[in-house]
Amino acid sequence: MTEWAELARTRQGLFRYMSGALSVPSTEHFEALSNAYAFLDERGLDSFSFFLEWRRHGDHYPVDERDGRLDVEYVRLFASGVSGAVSPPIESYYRSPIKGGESASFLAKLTREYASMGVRTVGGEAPDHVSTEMEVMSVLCAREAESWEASDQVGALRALKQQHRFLSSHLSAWVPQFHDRTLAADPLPYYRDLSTLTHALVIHETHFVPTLAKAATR
Amino acid sequence: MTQVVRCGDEPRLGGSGDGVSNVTELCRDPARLHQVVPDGGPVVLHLHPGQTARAEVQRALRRAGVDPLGAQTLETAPDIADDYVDVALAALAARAEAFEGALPEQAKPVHPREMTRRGLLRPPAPEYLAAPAVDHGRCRSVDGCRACVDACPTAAYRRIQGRIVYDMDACQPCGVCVTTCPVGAITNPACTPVMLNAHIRTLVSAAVDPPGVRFVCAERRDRTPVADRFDVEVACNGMLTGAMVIAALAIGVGEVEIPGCTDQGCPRGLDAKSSGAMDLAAAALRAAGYEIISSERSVQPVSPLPAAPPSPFDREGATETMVALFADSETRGLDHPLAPLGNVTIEASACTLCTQCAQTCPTGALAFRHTEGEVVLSFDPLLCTNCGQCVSACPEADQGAITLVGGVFPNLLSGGRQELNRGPVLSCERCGRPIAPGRMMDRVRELLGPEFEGTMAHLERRCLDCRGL
Repeated sequence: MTEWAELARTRQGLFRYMSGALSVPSTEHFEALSNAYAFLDERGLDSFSFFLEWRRHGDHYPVDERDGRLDVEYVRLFASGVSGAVSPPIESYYRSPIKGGESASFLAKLTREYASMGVRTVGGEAPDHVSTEMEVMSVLCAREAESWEASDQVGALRALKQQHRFLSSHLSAWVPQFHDRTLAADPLPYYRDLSTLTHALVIHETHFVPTLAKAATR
Repeated sequence: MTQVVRCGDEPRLGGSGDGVSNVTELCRDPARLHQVVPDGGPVVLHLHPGQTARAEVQRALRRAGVDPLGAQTLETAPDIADDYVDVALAALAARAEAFEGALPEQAKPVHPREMTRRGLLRPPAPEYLAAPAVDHGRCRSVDGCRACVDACPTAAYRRIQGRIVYDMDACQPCGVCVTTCPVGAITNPACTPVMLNAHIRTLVSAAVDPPGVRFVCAERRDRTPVADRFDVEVACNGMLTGAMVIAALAIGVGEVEIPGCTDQGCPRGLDAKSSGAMDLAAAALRAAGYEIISSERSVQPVSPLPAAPPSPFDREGATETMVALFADSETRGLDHPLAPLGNVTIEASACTLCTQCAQTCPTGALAFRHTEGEVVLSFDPLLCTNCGQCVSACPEADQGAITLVGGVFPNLLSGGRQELNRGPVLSCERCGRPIAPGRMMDRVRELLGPEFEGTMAHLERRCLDCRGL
């Protein structure tokens, strides 16, 4: 079961990487991302259909963090502005457009859903931020890997089922709109290609996870 | 320019020209592709038959920066003649260049059906099939069209609240939706009308004599080239239409063959569709007065056909091809249920002029307009694609109000838009705006019965806006 576990670990790392890349840039941010990218790039991602988008995104490394333009662009696109973020990376923006109570009830429901999966978000971004949702996927992949490592096929299949449910009921339900909105905002190439990769990865995983589960049950 | 990469040591002496590279043992180790295709671009691979797993080839292409859904592969045994290979490679190069890219949602991951013993310990590498995608900007489902829903053999499409929802997991990309959609809103990135056009036109121009073409299913992997036929890959032979067969012949192909997929038939159960396409092509050619040699699986015209339009494999091109075929014909035309054109007739005594048919018609062949106190229903046979959505939408279809006959009718095609029915419209006594066709209200009265007479009288006097005043 080692190689099944390795694949799960690679996917865990990939989602962890995406979580980092989609969070607020800090001083060490781009250097850490660049190292993580180089590590993941050697893990056989060329087997997957999003590899071209992965490579296009990777062409931006090394990023000169002293430039500062990317920090400003992150804030313009995803954080805030005079009239709010151009392309909010949060699920409730797309799935409960009435602000206020409606959004709060969406977040409460999502938090309960996390609890039912045994996941709790602490500090950092909002529970429905793209970065948090990618981190949740990373946790679910880690569970799958641990199950494979313990030769627990039932546990691994359960983790795959959780991943599929989370991808289809959350990430794939709003990331395409988020991506369209980001592209329409004429972003800097780094964030354009990051958004394209995010979209391609989410679409891929939504269809890939069930086929993986099917192959594992043969 | 397209890179043609051949497995082997011997440089080709044939006429493929520049852009041909040889890579030793490419079949055994596709990753070597990276040596000659460092920067992406269109690629054609020439490999030995059946030696390389598709997942491995796709992986190597990605590493070389190439989208595998657009790359083309030719697999031939060493004894196949050089001139055949040159023509086939040139045509595949043209097809690769015509690839317009694929969306992330057009790559369907599948795992190989046969699981190896090693696969029990190791996750098998996925391979990707080109899957269709719906352009919701062009799709007319909001008006009621559900042609893809009705046509899909695996129920991969549903229409929910006026929007088509596609289920990739249920889809076994056969392309039937692509050729069924009346407005061309569904595309398969590996088999677009532009790619087929480039492929077949290059075959015709590169071959010395008019070449034979064999349409082959992308899922059929055990195919061996036949000396007098060039393979043209489609998602499934079930997606082929009679108009596509005639289009290939009109481009200059000498003979078209649609072989069966396996001895057991099409795994998707679409044999009837592919044989129907061949039947239509043969019937249309005969009806237009052309002498042909045909069998259940092939057709060969004895005399040349009218020249094909510039893009004969899309919906408009299919119409143009059929119209040109019958342009000089003195026959009454062709009746065929699979024809890409049709004729709508209305039984005036049963039609209530509710205009549901015109509102649903995705191509605008059926249309309605209001004139002085009347509604007029009209039909343009050149726009009809024989999709049948009008009949499905008609509430009086079981009363025989509307009839659609698939076929090509030259006398109608030259007549332009024609009036099918007209009738009075009731007007609001307060504001004068139209309320509804009189015959429709009569039909509603008939269905509701005498106890609703008071309600009907009220509905017939005032429009929706004035009823509360």
